Order: sequence, then C-alpha cells, then structure tokens
Amino acid sequence: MSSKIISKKITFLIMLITGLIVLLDYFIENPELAAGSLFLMKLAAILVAFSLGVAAVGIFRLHVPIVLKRVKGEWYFSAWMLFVIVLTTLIGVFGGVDHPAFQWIFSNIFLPLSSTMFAMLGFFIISAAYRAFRARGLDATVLLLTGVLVMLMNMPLGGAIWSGFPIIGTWLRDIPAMAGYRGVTLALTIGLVAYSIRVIIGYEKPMGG
Amino acid sequence: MSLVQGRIVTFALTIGLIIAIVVYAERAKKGKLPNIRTLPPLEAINEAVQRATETGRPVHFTTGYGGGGLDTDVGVYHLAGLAVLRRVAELTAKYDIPLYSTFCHPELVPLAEDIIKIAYIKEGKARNIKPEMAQLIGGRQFPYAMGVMGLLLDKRPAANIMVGNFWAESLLIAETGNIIGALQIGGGADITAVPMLIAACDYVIMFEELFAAQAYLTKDPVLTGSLAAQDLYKILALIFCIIGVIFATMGIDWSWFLSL
Repeated sequence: MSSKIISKKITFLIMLITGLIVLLDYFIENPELAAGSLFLMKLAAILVAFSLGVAAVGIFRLHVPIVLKRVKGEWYFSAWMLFVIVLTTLIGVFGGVDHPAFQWIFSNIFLPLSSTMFAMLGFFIISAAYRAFRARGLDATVLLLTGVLVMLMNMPLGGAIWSGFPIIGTWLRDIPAMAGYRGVTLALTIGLVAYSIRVIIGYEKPMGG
Repeated sequence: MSLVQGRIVTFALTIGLIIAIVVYAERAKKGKLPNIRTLPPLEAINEAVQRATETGRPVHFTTGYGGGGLDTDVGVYHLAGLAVLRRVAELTAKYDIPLYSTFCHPELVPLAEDIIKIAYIKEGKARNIKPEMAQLIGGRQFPYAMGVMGLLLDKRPAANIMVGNFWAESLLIAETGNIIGALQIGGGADITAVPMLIAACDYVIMFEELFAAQAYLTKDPVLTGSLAAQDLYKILALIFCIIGVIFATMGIDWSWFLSL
C-alpha cells in the first residue's frame, strides 16, 4: 500500500473520529464524551492560532522578494506593510495588548480606517441598488416597487406622505419576506447538516486529497 | 449514558439523514443517479476562466470574512467555497492563467495552498505555483476588504469569484470588481449578504446551492446521490410545516413531541 493511500486513510479516520465525538456529545450525556469534545474544540482553536504563523510566513515569502527586487509601484507598499507587521507584533508580544502604543495603533489607526471603509459602504449600496432596481422585466419591476415601499416605510417622509406606506411596508417585511426567510433558513440548515455529515463520513473532501 | 432531553427527535432525524445519505450514495454507485438542475453560476466558472484566457488577465478568488473562520459555526461555508477554488485552480493551471486567491482567515491559507498545489501538480504545472496564489489579507473584516479592493484595482482580473461566507465586505469587493469590468461569480449563505451579491454580481450561488458545488463540479456519483437525501429531508420539513399549520389551526397541542 503506497504512503499516499495510508495518508488518505489516516486523514479520513481523524475526520471521522473527531467529527463523531463532537456530534455525539451534542446528543448524549456522558462526561468522557464531553471532556473529549471540549479537548478537540480547544485543539482546533490552538491549530487555528498556529495557522496565523503559517500565513504570516506566506506574507513574508510574498512581500520580501517584492521589496528586494524593488518592483515598480509595489515595493514601498510591501516594505511599509512588513514594517507595520513587525512593529505591531513586537509591541504586542513584549508589551501586551494593553500597552499604550498598541492601544494607540488600534484606536487611532485601525478603528478610524475600519469606520471609513464601513461608511463607504453607503455609496456602494447606492450604485449597486441603482443597477439592481432598474425595471428591466416583471421580476425587476416587482423588486423595484417592493424596495420603494420598504424604503418609504423606513423613512419618516413616507408616513408623512401617506399613512398607508408604513402599514404596507410592515406587511411586506413581516409576511412575504419572513416566509421567504424561514424557507431559506430551513433549506440552508438541512443542507448544512447534510454537508457536515458528508464531510465527517468522508464523502465530501473540501480540503483536497 | 443517556440522550439529552429535548434532543431525542433531532438525534433520530440526524441518524435518519446519515442512513439516507449512505443509501442514496450506494444507489448512485449502482448507476441510479438523481437529476441535478443546471446551476448557471457553477457553469459560468468555465466561462470566467476562458474570458481571462482571452484577455490575458488573471483570475481572483476569495471566500470572504463572513463573521468567522473555520473554528466558528460559519466555517463550513468557507470549506464549501474551497471546493469551488479547486475547480478554479484546475482551470487556471490548465490554461496558464495567473491566479490570486485571498483570505481573511489565516487557517484557510494552508488549505488553499494545498488545494492549488494538488490542482497544478495534476495538470503537470507544479513550476507555475507562486506564493501570491494563496495569500492572507487583513485578518479583520475591513482591512481584508480594503486589501482585496486594492488587489482588484491593481491586478485588474478578468474574473472575480467570491464564494464562501460574506458580510458587508461582499458589496465593497463586488462593486470594485464591477468597476474594473470583471465577470463576477458570487456565492454565500448569509441572508443579509446574498442580496448584495445578487445586486452586484453576474451569477450567484445561493444558500444551500453552495453545498452542492462539489457534487456538481466533480460529477462524483456518491456526492450526487447523497444530494437526494438532502432533498428528501426538505420534503419531510415541508410535511412537518403543513402538519404544524393544520394542528395550530385546529388548536391541537403537539409541543410534547417537539420537546422530546
């Protein structure tokens, strides 16, 4: 038997055993099973933390050559990124996340930039909605009308124009939209459970090999 | 050892689903394959890579932020997204097209590297594997979105394939893809993000279609067969809904059954 087949079988056994332990722990009251499941979940969290190191190596493998080769239009961005990664890591490791310098970076650089990106979302929604809400056919027209009615429900001006807008909008949200939402949730949950079972029993191999 | 009170019905249904999956998979092995309707977004992957080949531009793939990585309850959506990456990597390897795949969660990077490596080795193009094919960007929602938007504007891919789990970053990335004129295939399961993907992408893999991706793309009889078990349970859920409506209308209390 080749080493490739043995490796595949070991991978399958690990997936099957870990999957079954965590799955059965949800249904069966057993202290050993609960301890095993908790251990596996902690192990998963540790493995995920380790993968940050692997991914960081990947970042250096990608950006160091760009800096060394002085790739036009790119090298200074890569150099700046590497500098910021090293600086933040050093402050975080030696000073801890409560260190004033770490907190300053987080509060004065990370948070404002994240908020800026989130604020930009409003403009992107307008351009996407403009394309989606054009009345090109029957479906798009229904979408346009529904969108307008729900918008009129949400804005104070809608109720001021006609008191019926909030009632229609609320009905659209609570009845047809909720029915669709529940149908989708039901189908999605069944699909999710079936997919997880297929992964555990080795039918589905999303990770390659 | 005893079953947890309130989860007995769920346990029975889960065992039933496992049996149904195995039975349908065995039937499929014997040639009794169920019909799967055409899924245009998955068919469009070929079109997207061919377009990239014609224009000489790269292909971009990402699985999104979506609230968490593999160690969270949305991890399974990212896994389903990686099944699509496998197909994309096979095609980019075949046609010698540059591939950029970006990830917000570090644990997805080694998995993606492995998937890409297998796809390129299978096509005999191992020398074409490059570090930028699977890269970590951000680690948080908006730095990730910013990084991907920058990459899209810089590399100008002909196809932007975003399949996994997305939140608000879906629109930021997809609108940038629209600005550069990329053919866009979106896919997700978050009920608030899918409408954004529908508004911004050319094709969208919606909700549970995501879990059929690997079966559809590989045409594997076992996987295709097991999808029928999923459909059987959807019919069962529908019957439960109808019974529930009838019982509620008639005032019959069946909460004892659900609390088992």
